Amino acid sequence: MAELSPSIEHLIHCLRGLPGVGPKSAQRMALDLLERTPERAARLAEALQTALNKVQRCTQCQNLCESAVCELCADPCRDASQLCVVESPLDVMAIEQSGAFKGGYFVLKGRLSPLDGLGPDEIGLPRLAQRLDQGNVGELILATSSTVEGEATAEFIVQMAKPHGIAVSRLARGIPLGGELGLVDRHTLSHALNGRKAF
Amino acid sequence: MIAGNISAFVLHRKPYRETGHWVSLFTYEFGRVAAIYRPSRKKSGPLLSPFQAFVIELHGEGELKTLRQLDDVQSPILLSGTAQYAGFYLNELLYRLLPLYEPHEHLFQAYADLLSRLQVPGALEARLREFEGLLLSELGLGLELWPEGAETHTFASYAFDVQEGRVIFFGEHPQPSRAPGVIEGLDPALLKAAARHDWSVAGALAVAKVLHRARIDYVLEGKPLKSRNLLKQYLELGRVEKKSTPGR
Repeated sequence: MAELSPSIEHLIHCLRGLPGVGPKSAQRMALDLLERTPERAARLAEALQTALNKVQRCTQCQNLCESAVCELCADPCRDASQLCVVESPLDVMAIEQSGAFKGGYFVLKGRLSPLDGLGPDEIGLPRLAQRLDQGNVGELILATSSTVEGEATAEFIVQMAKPHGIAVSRLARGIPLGGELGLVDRHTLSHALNGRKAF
Repeated sequence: MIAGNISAFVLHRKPYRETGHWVSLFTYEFGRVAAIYRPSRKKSGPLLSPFQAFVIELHGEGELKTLRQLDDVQSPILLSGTAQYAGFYLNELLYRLLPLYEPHEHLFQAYADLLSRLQVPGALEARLREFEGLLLSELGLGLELWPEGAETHTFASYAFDVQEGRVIFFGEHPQPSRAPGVIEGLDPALLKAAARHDWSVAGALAVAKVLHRARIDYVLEGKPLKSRNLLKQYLELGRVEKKSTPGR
């Protein structure tokens, strides 16, 4: 097969860096965009450029938004003394969809993972420390993932919060709604038992 | 190649494609191994989690294997607090220092034992130093903190040659110029204690820490260990908290 042009190769290379896109998928996407839907390719390029120009991190919570302060932080109806710490903007969307939380958020840029080169600075914990120093946070709700790295991130934040005397809680883990005990893995079940609540 | 019933720990994993994982494993039989794991969509299996002992099955001829079977053999070792960050440190050491497909059965056993004891309070530093020493020694990069049977020379000046990984002494008069990669002014009593892992001698652990760190940094060509920094930052936060709550 003839070699692809350097520009196409470069496009494939860029697409391969996206989550869930392997070499074959990247090749298919690139050739489809260029060969069959060039107008879509132009729209995609424009959308990317516009998003790059406009999207920034909220100065309060680090969520992605198009103004200095995001809509959630600017909303006076939300309880800013409650701060829910999550790993990504997707987590904010998930919690918002639940409708169960009316406080503020702090969006980390991932979770502590030394082997991925992610330490406290890389995930934005110094900014969280500034928020805690301001003294208007009364409760921290740690909603980092239930992985070893998510736990390490939560523990680090607990340690950061201790000198401020802030109440800290962690999202409960256990049986999903509608789930049957026999289908739940034993680790989740042991968490559910350890975190049981009195009736 | 198909190899089953392999004892393994996960050192690191990253997402691979939509549902798979690229995973770095420390195995009893093959040492460090890289593999791709695609969990079954039909049945839920164990989580691919660090600090958990697994029995696995590996397939494939190339350097990157396919991880087919994954069974957890015990409840996960739930690390918290300092132990958790120490666990990250152990994993980063193994991930960055161990070559692929070089079995180190003794080291594997030491790692498994250490993980199960990390959460037990006390002696964490000593355990870490001993593991570092064993790891370096297994890789042929061991430290000679005190030559066996050597006497202490009253008027000698003791130093550690990081490149050679051993203690050197200069006789009565220390050499005037500071050689690069040489840590000078070491106390022979502490060196001896560190060499025989006698941590009851005050200062022996601190000396071992400095020398191990220098040797590891040399082997890693100065590229920093992110987990070491994380552990340090976490411990510093603890110190801040203690200062701010007097009486504890």
